[in-house]
Amino acid sequence: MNCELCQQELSSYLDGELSEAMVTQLQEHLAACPECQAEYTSLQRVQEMLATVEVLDLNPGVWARVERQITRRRAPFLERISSFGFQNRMRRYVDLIPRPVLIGALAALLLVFAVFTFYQHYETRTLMTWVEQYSTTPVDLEVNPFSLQDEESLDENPFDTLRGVSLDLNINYFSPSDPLGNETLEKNPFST
Amino acid sequence: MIDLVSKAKQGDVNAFHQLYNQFGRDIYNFVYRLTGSKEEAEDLTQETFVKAYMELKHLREDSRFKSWLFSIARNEVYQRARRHAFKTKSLEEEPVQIRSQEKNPEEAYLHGELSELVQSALDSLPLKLKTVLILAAVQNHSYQEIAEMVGRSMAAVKTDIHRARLRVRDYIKKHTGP
Repeated sequence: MNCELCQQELSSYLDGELSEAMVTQLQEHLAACPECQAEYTSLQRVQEMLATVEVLDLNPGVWARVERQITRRRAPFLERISSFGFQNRMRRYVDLIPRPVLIGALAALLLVFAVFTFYQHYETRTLMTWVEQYSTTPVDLEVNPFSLQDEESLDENPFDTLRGVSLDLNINYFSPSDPLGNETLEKNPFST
Repeated sequence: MIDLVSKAKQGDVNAFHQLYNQFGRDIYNFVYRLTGSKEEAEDLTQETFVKAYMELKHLREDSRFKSWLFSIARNEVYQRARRHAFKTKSLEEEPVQIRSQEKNPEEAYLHGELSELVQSALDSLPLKLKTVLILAAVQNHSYQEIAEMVGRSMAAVKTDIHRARLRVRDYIKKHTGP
């Protein structure tokens, strides 16, 4: 064994990780090499110092905290999210409903809400596009289809086909003098 | 131990408590030596065992519970270290010098300063080297166990332990004089 290999293996030797054959070779080298022996002695002293590191006792309260947390995390969802009293009463009722049914019902509700919101948004945008195109004043337009004499004539541009057609339009003007649009004009501004 | 792990896997909290009694102190001391803070160490020990209990079903080999537990503790420490640096008493910031009449390390030990010096020497190491040195030289785990705990090869672990020992030696030499 040469000095380089010997010094590389000193830590493994100190930690008892060398094979018997390697231990023999290393000990023979140490006995014959003062330089490697000095290196070994210095590392051995470090090892002795590290071994004297104080072992601390763990605060007994830590287990109580661990136990509390694992009990909480194992609890059903509704029990976990709140400690309010009414939650426990609610949970008794909710627990009567089979879990798949409950999840399905919640999903259906969410879907209905999403579709309704999207439809409302789409309808409002379409109407406002028309209004912006044909009026310089922002208006809240309400069309009563039952008052149309010719419903089939409703085309892509309803106002073109509505010219000359008798219909009732309630147009609410939102102007500085009437910000809430309370003045309803009961006339047909498109009739020629 | 394997029986206890098996029972704990089925939700037996008492069995898990016995595992805690068996390894809690080792985990606490390991984490304490890494962080240098008792409060952090208690907190991280708690987190380690909570996570271990919740993830126990994913442990494939019950016999490797100890290595697995230490790897969780190590990960918790690393995650916390990424979020904020530990407030360790590092000699780089505030050198702890052995008093002139106590140049000899043995004398310093008698005055209770040696352990502080050793902790400061450990704190001067990068977290990766400190982890393997504590596991090997302070807690006497085998290199095979350490390799499992840190998820690296035995050869890499062996090299790092030796490098860490040399650095600690140089550090102590520098701060205690010739």
